[in-house]
Amino acid sequence: MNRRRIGLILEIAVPLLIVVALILWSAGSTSFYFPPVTDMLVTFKETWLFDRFGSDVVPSLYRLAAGYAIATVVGVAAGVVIGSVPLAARAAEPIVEFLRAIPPPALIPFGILVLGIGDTMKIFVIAVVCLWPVLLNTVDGIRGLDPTLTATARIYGITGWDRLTRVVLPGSGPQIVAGMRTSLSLALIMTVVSELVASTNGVGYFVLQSQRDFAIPQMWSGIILLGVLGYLLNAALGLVERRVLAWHRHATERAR
Amino acid sequence: MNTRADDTHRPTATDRKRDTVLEVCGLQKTYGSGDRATVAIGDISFDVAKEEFVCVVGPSGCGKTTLLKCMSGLMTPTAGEVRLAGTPVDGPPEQLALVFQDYSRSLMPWLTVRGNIALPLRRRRLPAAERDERIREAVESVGLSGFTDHYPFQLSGGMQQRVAIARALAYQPDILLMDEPFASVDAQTRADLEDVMLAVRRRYGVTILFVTHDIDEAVYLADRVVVLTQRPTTVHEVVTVDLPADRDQVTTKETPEFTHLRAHIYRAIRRPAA
Repeated sequence: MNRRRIGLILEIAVPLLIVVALILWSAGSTSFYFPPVTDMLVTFKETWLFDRFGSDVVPSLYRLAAGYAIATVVGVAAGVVIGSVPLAARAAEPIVEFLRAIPPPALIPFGILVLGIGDTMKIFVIAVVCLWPVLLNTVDGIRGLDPTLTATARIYGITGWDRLTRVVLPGSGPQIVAGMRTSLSLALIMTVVSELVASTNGVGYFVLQSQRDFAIPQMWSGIILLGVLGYLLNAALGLVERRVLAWHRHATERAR
Repeated sequence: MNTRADDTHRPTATDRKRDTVLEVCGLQKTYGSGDRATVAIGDISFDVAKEEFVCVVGPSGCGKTTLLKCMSGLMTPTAGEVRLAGTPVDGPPEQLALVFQDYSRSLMPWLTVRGNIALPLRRRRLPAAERDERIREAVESVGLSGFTDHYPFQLSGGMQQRVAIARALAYQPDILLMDEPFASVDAQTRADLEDVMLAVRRRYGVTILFVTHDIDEAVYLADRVVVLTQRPTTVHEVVTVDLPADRDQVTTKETPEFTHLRAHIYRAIRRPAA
């Protein structure tokens, strides 16, 4: 009990201490590239709360959410087919292995060529990158379903849609969510990359533009914002996971 | 004393002759083919009458699980057939339920007790009130009232197996198959679960085929015990258990009849069939 308390205190105190140390250390900084942290934070407040929130954060989040959602739906659907039908797996595996081996940013020139530099291109690039972890984890999850569980479903005539939604998907849920977790980090990376290459708004665009304008505190505030966004997105997924997969957490804790 | 070895391996017990629910006719199962072929089941025939409690015992590795898979339609036999209510089994029949040994992997861990019992009832398309009544009665009859909103991980092993039994009872099958259901619980829980089976059997009038490796358990529960041989498995003997219907873990097991039956079956299993 005491250990847990100490852990919690450390978890909050250490990051705070580091921030305070950075503020003190950079207080009198005259470096052009590393302005005082307080300047960055003031700029952060002026820029993102909420002056440019609508013009840059919302477009970035929209692209990220759309690409991520498409990847999740397509990845789970394709994963269910590949995981359940051995012939589909034989046919799809070489293609999947090839496509996911392509370094994702290499798709951007193609995307610009075919889809232009608008949201569609960015959503496409994000979706393509996020697809593979979800797909491969779904396949693993379905192949790893307990044979006793699937035999139970057969015995009790749980087939078709019921089998999919009440046995197969919940049973592979832990793996699917693990894939979604990997994809979420990739989604943020690809959002920024696509905005760095070709965009007229978005947080990535803002960071690049600030750098070109030598607005260094602004640039730093954008970088900090991206860190905060990534942190919050992960935390949100963690919350969903805790709710949806509560059974899994408890069951594995008990098995230990 | 009413131990009766049946030479034809067919229960001709006319005193308990009722409608036959399950017939196993000349069942054979061979794994692989050619030189590599392994004969798991040589030739098994027996049948189970309506509302009867039949136990199947046999030496370890005699293919009890293979037999159960063939009977439940999860596996296709090499020869022979299984008939449920006169219809040949070629896939899990709608009027059959199966309780697995491994309860922790047979219950859906993401569903509550109620959810687990309700899931197979979806195909029955019952009105909500009847479905809820079936669940309530099944939960009550296995002694789990008050636990309907618990998840499996919140229950002990014995309680989880009770949930699996309640799920099968609420489904109201023509026949309930049980695959060594109490093999992985402790002795006290096992005795409790055996008594639960005797009680629900009476309450539901359900026909039960119960596979076990425990001879005491078989004699304690059954009306008849099917004794299997080593591989390639055949029916060595069908033993009628003429103990009174009211059974008790202590008094029944100390009667000379019980002791005699269990000794008889022990010898039958230890000695390979001639």
